[in-house]
Amino acid sequence: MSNAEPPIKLDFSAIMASSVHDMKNSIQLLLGTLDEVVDELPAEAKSHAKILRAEAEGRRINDQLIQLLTLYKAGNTKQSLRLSEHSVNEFLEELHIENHELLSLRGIELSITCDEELAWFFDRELLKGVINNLITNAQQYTKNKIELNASLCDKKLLFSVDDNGPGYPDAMLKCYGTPHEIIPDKNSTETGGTGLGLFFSATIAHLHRNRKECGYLQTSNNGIDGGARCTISLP
Amino acid sequence: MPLWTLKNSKILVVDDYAEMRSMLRSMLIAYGAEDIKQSSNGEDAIEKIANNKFDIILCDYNLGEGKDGQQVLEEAKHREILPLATTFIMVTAENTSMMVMGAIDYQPDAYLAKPVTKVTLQTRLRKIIEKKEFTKKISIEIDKKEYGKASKLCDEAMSDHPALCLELQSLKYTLLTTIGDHDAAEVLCKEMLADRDIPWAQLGLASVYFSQQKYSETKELLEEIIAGNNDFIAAYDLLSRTQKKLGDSHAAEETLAKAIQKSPKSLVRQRELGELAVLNENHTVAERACRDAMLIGKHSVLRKANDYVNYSQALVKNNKGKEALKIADRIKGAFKGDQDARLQAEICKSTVHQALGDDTKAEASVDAALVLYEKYGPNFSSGAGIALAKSCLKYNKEEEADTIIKDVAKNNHEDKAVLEEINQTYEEAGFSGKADVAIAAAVGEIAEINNEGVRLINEGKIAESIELFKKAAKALPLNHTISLNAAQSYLLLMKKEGANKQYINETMLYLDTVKDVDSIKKKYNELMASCREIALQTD
Repeated sequence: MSNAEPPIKLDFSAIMASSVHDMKNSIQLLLGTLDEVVDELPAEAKSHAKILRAEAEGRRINDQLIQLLTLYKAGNTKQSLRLSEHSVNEFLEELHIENHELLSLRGIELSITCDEELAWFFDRELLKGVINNLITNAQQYTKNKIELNASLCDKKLLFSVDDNGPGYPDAMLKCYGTPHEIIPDKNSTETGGTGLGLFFSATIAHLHRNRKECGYLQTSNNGIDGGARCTISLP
Repeated sequence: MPLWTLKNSKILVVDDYAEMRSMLRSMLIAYGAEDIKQSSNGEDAIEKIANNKFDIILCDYNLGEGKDGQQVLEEAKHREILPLATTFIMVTAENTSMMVMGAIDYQPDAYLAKPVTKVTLQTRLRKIIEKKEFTKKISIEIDKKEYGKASKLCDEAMSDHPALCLELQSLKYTLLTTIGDHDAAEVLCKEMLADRDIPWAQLGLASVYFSQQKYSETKELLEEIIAGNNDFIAAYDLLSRTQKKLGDSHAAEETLAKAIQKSPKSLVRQRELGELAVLNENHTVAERACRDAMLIGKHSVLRKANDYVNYSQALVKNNKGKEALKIADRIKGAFKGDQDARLQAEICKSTVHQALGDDTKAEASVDAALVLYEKYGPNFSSGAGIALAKSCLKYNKEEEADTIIKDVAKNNHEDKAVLEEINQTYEEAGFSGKADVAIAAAVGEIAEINNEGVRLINEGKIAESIELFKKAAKALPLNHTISLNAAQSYLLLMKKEGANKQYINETMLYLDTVKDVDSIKKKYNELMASCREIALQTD
């Protein structure tokens, strides 16, 4: 009776994959049901803050799951992306639709600047996680504006999320060529968060490759009126 | 009510969760959809796709047991039941990079990541369908096999809609490989790859190299693709085939074993692994792969009686004769009404009985097979024919063996591998040299027919040449050269006397029998092109 049981050997990646699969289906049902509930509401209640909040949190859980799975895999196996060509403007519009109502209830205006014809190769789902992450960051610091920009520069696609807040502290201004340069710090005070979001974003940027070039993440204070700007460059 | 509507769209929703299906359904209904069918698994989805012409298919990648979404897409395309004009959207729950990526002609129109909300539907689905509309008229022409028209439309669209360049290039690739214009496909792939490595376009180029029989280049490129995309299963499949062509069947087996580890549920992949393992005399692997091929194929139209035969033979090699016999006995019931399968079953049984040392039963099976052969003529696969001849030789039925071998040789007079196999069979049975005589006679007979036909054409006796080739093609329906010559005679006749519907149909039928033969693709395409040209003028 006193003998300790041998530890059970688990294939954690399989458990992770199967759990994430189930959770994503749950989120689908959760958000879908919420959609149906909203349909039954009178028009003036449809944009109620609490409903928008619930939707946003559902999407946030989804983004977090993607982040978790991606970082787990990045640490364990060789990760490959699903690169396809997407219309950048469409992609940003989708992000705008999902975010702008809730932001405007908080007095934050979300806008897009992007050439309508612009198309580029990227992993849509992962990059959506990245930009959502950056929007979540920005809304904590901005005064009242967040801008999503996309443009081509020197055969690279530059995505940037700008705000008109106080900008990054000097210590954080840098180009993160590889994700290893950002080590998530659980006690970080200067970022106000765990730094995990930035780490995730840099990881995803870095995974985007073309020929010999890798993507990167750069922080600057070239945002609106000297506010923060986080740029993702994808080759 | 939104302006955009799915009112007239015929839609199929495939998901193993009933709740998920009904949720997607109600979202689609909100956008006006009225005709929505549902499937809970891949097999049912295939059946519905075969029996309906859908405008839009929303298919979950993960369908529980059985086929996954990519396999549904691949089987539907392979069986040509999924028109190019149908919008196929893969709905994915997990991070998409974990999924099996398809080759260039097995790509869905788009991936839609869960959660799919009404907002996503409104933005994404709409854009995907709008985009598809631009390429639809080209797809429709390709579906109708109007390749010339499709090609013209495609080129026009490329200059009108540069933003759709990649979709159009991909469509053009499908078009070019369908009509066998590999050189143009090569140029196209290189254009696509000018600025960036796109894995499916790289694989497209590799398949072009493969078709051009440039196997070393194919191998090099595939190894590069796999180094960058460890999970690109379609690249492993082609690499294995390339390695086999290069004569390295052990490397080919190893490559395919890796692919099976990543994606075991494919009938064709298991079948090929089984065949390679048989070739390499790797009996344990062979038994497992052949069994899996048979089991996976149970409900698939891609299954062949040969899967049962291979499994049975693998069991024999592993000294499991009784099990082998059971499998051989199942063939007749599993392939009712299929004469080739019945013949294969008898041949298979005869070899199993031989292995079990029961010569009486073995010979009885050979006799049963010979009756079938007599009755249904020489239109059997070369493998079955050679196996039967082998058994005949064993039981002193040399005359029967000679007849069968001659038929096989006549049907495959240009296929070196088949002729070599015949040689080997005779040598092993102690009749070296005898095969040469049979083969030479067969090849001579074919050459004579062809020469005579060409002479008739040169003398302007085209109607006579048609009669000659028609007769030859009836006797040797599997001989590609004769089928091509029959088609060509018809084309010459139409050029001389003018076209008519009946001649066009005859030509098309002959050409259709050789459409999948790589070695004569160029000739096939030339004839196909003139046939289409004539057909267009007559309408």
